[in-house]
Amino acid sequence: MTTQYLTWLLALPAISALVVLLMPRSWETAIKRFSIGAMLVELVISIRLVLADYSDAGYHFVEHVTWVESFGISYKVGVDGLSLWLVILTTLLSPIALYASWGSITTRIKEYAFSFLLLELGMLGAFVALDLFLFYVFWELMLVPMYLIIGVWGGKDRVYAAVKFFLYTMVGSLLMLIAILYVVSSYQKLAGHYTFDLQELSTLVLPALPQYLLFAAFALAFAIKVPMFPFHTWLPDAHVQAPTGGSVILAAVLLKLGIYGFVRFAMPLFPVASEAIGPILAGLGVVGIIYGAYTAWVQRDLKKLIAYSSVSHMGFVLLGLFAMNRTGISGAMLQMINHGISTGALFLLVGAIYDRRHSRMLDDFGGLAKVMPWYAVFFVIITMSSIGLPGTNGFIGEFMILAGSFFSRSPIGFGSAWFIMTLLAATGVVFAAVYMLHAVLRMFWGRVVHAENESLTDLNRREVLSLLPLIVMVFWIGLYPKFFLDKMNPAVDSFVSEFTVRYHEGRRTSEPRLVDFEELADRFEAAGGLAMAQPTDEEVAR
Amino acid sequence: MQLEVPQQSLLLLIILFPLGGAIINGLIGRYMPKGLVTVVGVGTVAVSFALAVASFIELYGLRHEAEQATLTYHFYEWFSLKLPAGDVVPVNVRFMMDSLGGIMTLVVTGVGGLIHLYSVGYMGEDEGYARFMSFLNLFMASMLILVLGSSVPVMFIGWEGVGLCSYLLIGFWYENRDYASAGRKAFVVNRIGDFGVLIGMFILVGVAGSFEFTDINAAAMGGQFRPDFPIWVSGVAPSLATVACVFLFLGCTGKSAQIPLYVWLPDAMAGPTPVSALIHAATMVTAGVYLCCRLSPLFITSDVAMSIIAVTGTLTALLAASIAVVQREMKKILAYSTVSQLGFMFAAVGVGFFAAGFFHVFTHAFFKACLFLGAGSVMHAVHAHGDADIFKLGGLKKDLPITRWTFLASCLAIAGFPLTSGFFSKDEILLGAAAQIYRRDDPLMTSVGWFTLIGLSLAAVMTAFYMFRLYFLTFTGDYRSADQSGDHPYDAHPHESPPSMSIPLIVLGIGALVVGFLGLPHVMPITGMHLPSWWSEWMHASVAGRPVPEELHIVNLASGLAFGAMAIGIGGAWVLYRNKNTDALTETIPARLYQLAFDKWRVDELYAAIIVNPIKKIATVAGRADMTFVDALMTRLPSFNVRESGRILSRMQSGVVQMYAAVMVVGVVAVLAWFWTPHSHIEATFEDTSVELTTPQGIGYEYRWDANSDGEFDTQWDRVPGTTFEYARDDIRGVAVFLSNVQSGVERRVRVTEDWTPLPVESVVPADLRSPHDTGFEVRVDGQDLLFRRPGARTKGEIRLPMGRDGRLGLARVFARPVVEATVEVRNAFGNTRRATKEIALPFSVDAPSHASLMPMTREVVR
Amino acid sequence: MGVGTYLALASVLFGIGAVGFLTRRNMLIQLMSIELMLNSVNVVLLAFNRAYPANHDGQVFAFFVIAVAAAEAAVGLAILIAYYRIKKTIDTDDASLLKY
Repeated sequence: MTTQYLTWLLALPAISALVVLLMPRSWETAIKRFSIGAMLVELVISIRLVLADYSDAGYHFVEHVTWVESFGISYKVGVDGLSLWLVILTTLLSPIALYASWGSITTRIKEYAFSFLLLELGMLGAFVALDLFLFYVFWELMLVPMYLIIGVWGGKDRVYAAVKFFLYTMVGSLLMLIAILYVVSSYQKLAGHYTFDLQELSTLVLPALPQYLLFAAFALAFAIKVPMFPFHTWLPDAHVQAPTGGSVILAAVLLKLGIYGFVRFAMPLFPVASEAIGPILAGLGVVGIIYGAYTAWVQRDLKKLIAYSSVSHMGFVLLGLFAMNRTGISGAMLQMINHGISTGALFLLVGAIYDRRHSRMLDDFGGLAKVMPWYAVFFVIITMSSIGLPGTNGFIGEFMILAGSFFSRSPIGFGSAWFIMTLLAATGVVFAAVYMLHAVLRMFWGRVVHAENESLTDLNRREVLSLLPLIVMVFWIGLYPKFFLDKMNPAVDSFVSEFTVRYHEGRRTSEPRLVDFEELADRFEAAGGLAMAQPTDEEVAR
Repeated sequence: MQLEVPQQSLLLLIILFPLGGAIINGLIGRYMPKGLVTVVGVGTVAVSFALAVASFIELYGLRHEAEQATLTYHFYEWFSLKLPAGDVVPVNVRFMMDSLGGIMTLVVTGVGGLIHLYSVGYMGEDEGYARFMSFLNLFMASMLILVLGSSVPVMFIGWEGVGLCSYLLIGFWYENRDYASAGRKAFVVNRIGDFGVLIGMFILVGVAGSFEFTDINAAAMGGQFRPDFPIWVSGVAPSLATVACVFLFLGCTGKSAQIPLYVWLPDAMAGPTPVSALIHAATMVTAGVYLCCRLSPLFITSDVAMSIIAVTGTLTALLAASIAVVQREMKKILAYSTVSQLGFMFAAVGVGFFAAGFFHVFTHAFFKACLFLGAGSVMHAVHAHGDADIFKLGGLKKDLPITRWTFLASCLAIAGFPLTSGFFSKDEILLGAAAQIYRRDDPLMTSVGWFTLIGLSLAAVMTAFYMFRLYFLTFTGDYRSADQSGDHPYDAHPHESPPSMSIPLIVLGIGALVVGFLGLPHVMPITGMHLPSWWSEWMHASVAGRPVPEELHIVNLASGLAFGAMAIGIGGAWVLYRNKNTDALTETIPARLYQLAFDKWRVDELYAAIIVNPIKKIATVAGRADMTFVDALMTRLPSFNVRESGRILSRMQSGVVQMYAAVMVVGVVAVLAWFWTPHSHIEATFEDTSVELTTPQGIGYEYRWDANSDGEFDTQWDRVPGTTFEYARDDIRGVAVFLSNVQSGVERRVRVTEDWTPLPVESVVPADLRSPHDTGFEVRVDGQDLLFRRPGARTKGEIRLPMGRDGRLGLARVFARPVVEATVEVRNAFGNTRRATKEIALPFSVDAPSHASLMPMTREVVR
Repeated sequence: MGVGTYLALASVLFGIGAVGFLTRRNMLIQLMSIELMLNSVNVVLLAFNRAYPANHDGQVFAFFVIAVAAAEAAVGLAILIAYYRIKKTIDTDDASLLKY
């Protein structure tokens, strides 16, 4: 193995999926062990990725192989500080989710493992792809296994939820495809050849109106995935109907692809539109925070409650992202990881109680702390992580996001719209405590109301093993986030400065053209920093 | 002079010991024997106290060398923020002990340790004993982090941490739903305060550039918080300091149970009594006062914020005291008493006497903890659960002597009986209010001073009254549960508590009487003698404050009011309750008023009606609307569209052949109609000075050209679709201006007439120099030349561009060219003809001296 | 006699055939209408060939048309008979199995 870690990272689930497909259906234990083993090997590979030095902001472990020459499609993959932790999140949570699934999935084990491996492939590919076509392929590739997982192994209305999930996401993706094709053809008109390579396409600067439309198309696709209000309604249904493992991976990883898409594609390619529409998206994020919290409070189904809490949390992430400063963006990226861990853990916990009682309704519980004390302990710890108690991971992310949004768009400190948004978002901190503690109260405190609850067993070894890594991460990120942030910050800094350069360049453009940003960035630096706009050509008539 | 001792690892150990104890007892406590749990639980706190004493001694020693001494310990860098100016602000986990912190640490570990000891006896039989000890230790660790943190975020870890422990401990007996609910209420209400601290924190770091207390205070003293807050609504702009302090104070009202966020504290009595003593009397609730003292240099710069604090404190003191007067249960009375006393502390802070307020924190820790533990002792004695109704008690001085005497000592202290600790601390506070009146700064401050002085005096009367009402009804008279009649009487034979409970009571009781001497007033009332005040000397290093008046009349006013309040209160209680068995209040106060006060002025109900229920209603509506409305909009609407349009369109599939054939016929006819008349368009290519005009070839078409559109056809009907022509001067129909964008190379053409015609802005003016009302340039023909002007420009003027010359205008190269018109007539095999015309702008000048170049570009810039 | 007269005749024939196809319900009548339309096309081809006798393209193509018409009539009638055997009717309005 040379340094082609990323190709191995992608090839491994693909090969394992094929192997699983070829195994006889009756070898259930072997299939289970093999698939989890493959995913653990993935995790090891991705840990190797972490150990590299990320203090320079470019892409690492880049691999580039031309695929379809005439269209400029190539197989180009790489990681940088922005995608690194998302890759880790995927490789960490996939085996945990799969391992936890074996408590509730009893039929069609082979197909389930196959779907999961394919899903992991899709997610990892989307995170590391640097070619737009490749990214799109992996983006769409994720949809089918998720659709199968919800639709085959899910709850009562699983088909409805699966179809809803699929169509909803597909609408956005199709618009994104059109946008991608437009960008590629614009580039081709100017440069003469087709290419889907992100770095080459980034040299394209488009005037305002096309940018707005293209950004809207990309934004729609990603906003549906985030999920941003009002495009979030697929999430409660998908989560409620999906099996435990599916919910975990859906919440933990799939939702992150939306934000990742913004950071990697939509914002660098369309900076003027991002800057103009960004505050609106941040505002919708704030709406999502409060709306998600409110709707979570009144849910009686625990899974729906957690689904709406996801909407609330991702609203925070959106806010931090469009604050457009290093604090906000790295806070947002970190909060994504945090959300993946805490919400993933929450779904595992819900799965545990569902396996025992086949119910997720809060009214069916009560007094569980007496009967399942360790379950209560884990649940309360994860609750504290979810509501951002200092010392847990949630606090760091929320703090940085709120700080970033507080100081957004203003050199001296406070811009009024962002101040209001920060205030509103901070109230989300209060509401989060309200709905989570409401759930805890209903489930754990009080007397054991229902007779069926009296004989429940506490967490078994499988459940504890799947939760422990997440608890460790909760405290590791909460107490020593510097480790995680240091790998992210150079990439985020570079993102912010490049964005500024692109934005200023974009504002001066009335026709599409190609710009060499490397050279422009150097000129900016030489001209005294990024806060100033480049002086223009001689203005004749004054 | 400042002296700092870095890396004093004692500070970290002070925190780590209880934390370690919490983890051990939490994880494996249930499997350990009870003795071991006790050793871990109490032992770690005892070690912590010893280390705190050691640190304090070191600090005390340093104080002899330097005026300001601090012990610090830098643990590690937690994370960092990047501010808009570009500075990276590190958030370090760093601890610091200065004068303020030193005292607080001693109080927390000392009083806390005693309460841990007390819990051994009180909670020893409880099934969740290990869990209790673990939570108690966790609380200690959090509180110590709060106190020893050197920056706001680290303090915030402790701040929220104690909130968590509060939640866990109030709802400790979780099988009772109401208790768990009380815990949740505490957490949520505290969280509202935490919101305030977060926003305040951001303002602080925005101005001071650092989260460290020392840096923030330095910035405050340097006047950096004076400028106005950038965003405000009404005409009067608050300063940065005011806004920051108001937000921080919101946090304090949450943590320290002031108006409006005090409502969690009375409910918190659901927790075991040691919890009430530790958290809700001695330590956690004082965190708010601690924060204000910590940031006293900042608070003191904002008169508005200080006034708000003073008024809120006074109002809270009055409100809570009025509720306490009519309550019937021991812990409830003590809880409201705590709220009231906290109001005193904040009032002191509000009038600028930070050290006095903190002194009251100090003394209050002793006597309130003693009172709560005493109440616990009583409840333990009579086997009361939850709380004790004083009207079922009475005469306990016989059976519970230790409890009785310590309780009496603390009551005297809280009432402000001379020479007790409470006497000195309360005196200082009233002195601060009086000082504010006499300082005569401005009407606002003076009136606040009056309000505070009068209000606190009234509250002091009520304090003395209800405390002694409590004392007399509990300990004097007859034991009302002795005959076991009435509903739920208590144990018939109460007994004194075990030593593990009595010893803390004794220690605290003595403390309640004695510690006041640490903070003697500067000027003794009546005699005017100057007395040494160790406390203000010690506090001076780390806490700011307004000057203490020395004028005797002010001192006497304050002390007189304090003394009078105490006398009236105790006297009233003596008359009404000593050796009595009924509540005289029910007869003296009108029933409705009594009921209202008894029901805590129905504040909880008010909140429920104004805040909680409306939000819940909105949430319910939102929940339903999400599934029905939002979802419908996104999914049902599109699917309805698709389904219905499908239904309509599918009617085309009728299955009847004739229908299909009819549609085909319609299509064929449409196609044929296209071919009825000929179609053509003109294209022009240029070669030197002649123009080649072409039109697409059509089958069976014939063409006739009129190249200059003068009405006469220049060619005959011919199959050839093109012709060439050379234009003359007379053929020129008009002028067109070509703008060639230098950046993108795109060319635009504008037809120019005698009237002013606007030019497209995008071609000329760079995007970032464009203003919203920019209309760009306008152009018109003037004889043979072109005139350009810019209506929006500051300088009026026109530029002249002679025909045939090129120029440069902003981003565009400008050249004017003549325009001619060509016509072609086309005839098809059916005999139908059609004409097409086109205006052609010649890329060369017809009249130019040299017209050999196709697109001449002169570098001359037209001015 | 110019081309126009023949074109007029052909248009009339085509019109009769088209209207007959579109309006009549009897499948046999419809097949006959199709034949009529094809024959009108033949007339047009021959007329133009007469007007521009440079080569024999028109007449040759007319032969093609005749052959196609014959084949189509044969197949059409075969389908008609098979259909009749099943459905016992040759009314096209009833032949709507392909209706959505």
